[in-house]
Amino acid sequence: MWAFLHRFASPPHFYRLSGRMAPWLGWACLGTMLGGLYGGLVAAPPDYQQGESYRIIFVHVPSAWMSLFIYVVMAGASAVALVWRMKLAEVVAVASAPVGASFTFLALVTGSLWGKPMWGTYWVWDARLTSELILLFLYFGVIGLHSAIEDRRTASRAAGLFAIIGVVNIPIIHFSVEWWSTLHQGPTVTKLSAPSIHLSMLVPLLLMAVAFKLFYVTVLLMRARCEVLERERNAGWVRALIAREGSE
Amino acid sequence: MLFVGMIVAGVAVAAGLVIAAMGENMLYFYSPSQIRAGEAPSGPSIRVGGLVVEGSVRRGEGLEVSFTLTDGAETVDVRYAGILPDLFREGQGIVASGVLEAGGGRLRAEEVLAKHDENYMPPEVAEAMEMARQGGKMVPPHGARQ
Amino acid sequence: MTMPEPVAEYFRMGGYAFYVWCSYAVVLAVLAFNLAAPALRLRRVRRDLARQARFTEDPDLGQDGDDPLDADDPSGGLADTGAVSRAPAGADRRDDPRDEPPR
Repeated sequence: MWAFLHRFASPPHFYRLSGRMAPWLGWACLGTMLGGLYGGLVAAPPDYQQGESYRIIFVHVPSAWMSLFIYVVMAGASAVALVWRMKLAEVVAVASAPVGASFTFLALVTGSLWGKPMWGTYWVWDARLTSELILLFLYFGVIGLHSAIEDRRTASRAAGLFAIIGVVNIPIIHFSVEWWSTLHQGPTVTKLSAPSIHLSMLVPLLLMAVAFKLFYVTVLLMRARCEVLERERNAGWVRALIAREGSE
Repeated sequence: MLFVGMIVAGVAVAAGLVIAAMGENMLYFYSPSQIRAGEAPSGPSIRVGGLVVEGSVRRGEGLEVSFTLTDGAETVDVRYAGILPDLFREGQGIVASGVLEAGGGRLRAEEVLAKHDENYMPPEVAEAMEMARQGGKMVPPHGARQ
Repeated sequence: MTMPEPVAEYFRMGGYAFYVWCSYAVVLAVLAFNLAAPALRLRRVRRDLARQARFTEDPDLGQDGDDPLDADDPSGGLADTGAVSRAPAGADRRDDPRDEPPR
């Protein structure tokens, strides 16, 4: 197991393996997403209270889940990078930030578009919405630190530290609807009792969640490949790779 | 290095501002019971959250509307002139923001927002549950969590 | 450009067409951007590295690596773009034998 991890973590192997995996993951993502879109936009019945407008849930909720999930992955990878000096963990952390920021942005925008017709406002400063907005700023902070520091190792360390500190925001976001009185309603699926959503709506919701997760892994691999290639630009295997390409 | 410092400072300031904004609104709304108990500050604009009492909605001229909010124990009357969200209906969870009129029992609302619950189901299922409820079985009430 | 009534009715989304379709459009746009950005970046990185390789004499490359590159030289600066255009857009994501590490 450890030997496999080590082998996978070696840049040339990672580059080769990720190049092979990314398209498969991408196709799996597309398939799941088409299924989820069909289920959510066509097959699922309208909601008893919100009518057709609730269909935004199928992109809003998975985006919000991903915004939290990716942050935890990013902070975890940063911690691994800081403790064990693992280069690939650094790469995972860097490559995660833009995807995470994208999903956070999507959660905010789709939520806003959902809030206007249902709540009556695009935005309120309640605890849930505010803490999600802070999450977006945290992602910006990580990305900013990365691009501002010239030396990649130093940049990774600084941004990683920042990301780890920002983890405190994650439980705040999740429990905000329970700790404080918010306009945002409580959790539907991720509560301890049975999900309070009808099966015909739950299935496309989960399909979309799986699709977004696959999307994240696909893009993560693609970004990580660029990062690996740039970091290893002077290594023998990269030179050989480029040379072989040029000679074709 | 200066640039890095500036970014860190910028993020810190932004986060600080947002947290300050959130601190004010951490408790996004008060319940009618809290209003009656005098826990809400008088004077500045406050928010009251509760369920619209069945049969309390009175439409006046134009967009004028008045209704009563309850949390099960106490009630607060609300008067409002403006566009109501699509989810506004009797029995629905509502957050109204505005100024308490003297006496403290009536809110002059400037904004009315609907708060929906975390339940999603097709209309037929909702009807079936409603029938079951009227048949004596308990189901969780629709509307806001208090 | 008239749609059958049920189809038009569907796209109206019970009057919430603007909010629902805007949401899905934004999601689609952001996801597409997330796919395109690293794909384009990988192409750029490879092109830069190829250019760099052409200007640095590298003993590691050996004879077989150097010769074809030199043969490209008469075409001048165009040699670079040629090398890139030979790799189609999808090539970055596909597994091709070029991706194998040396030895």
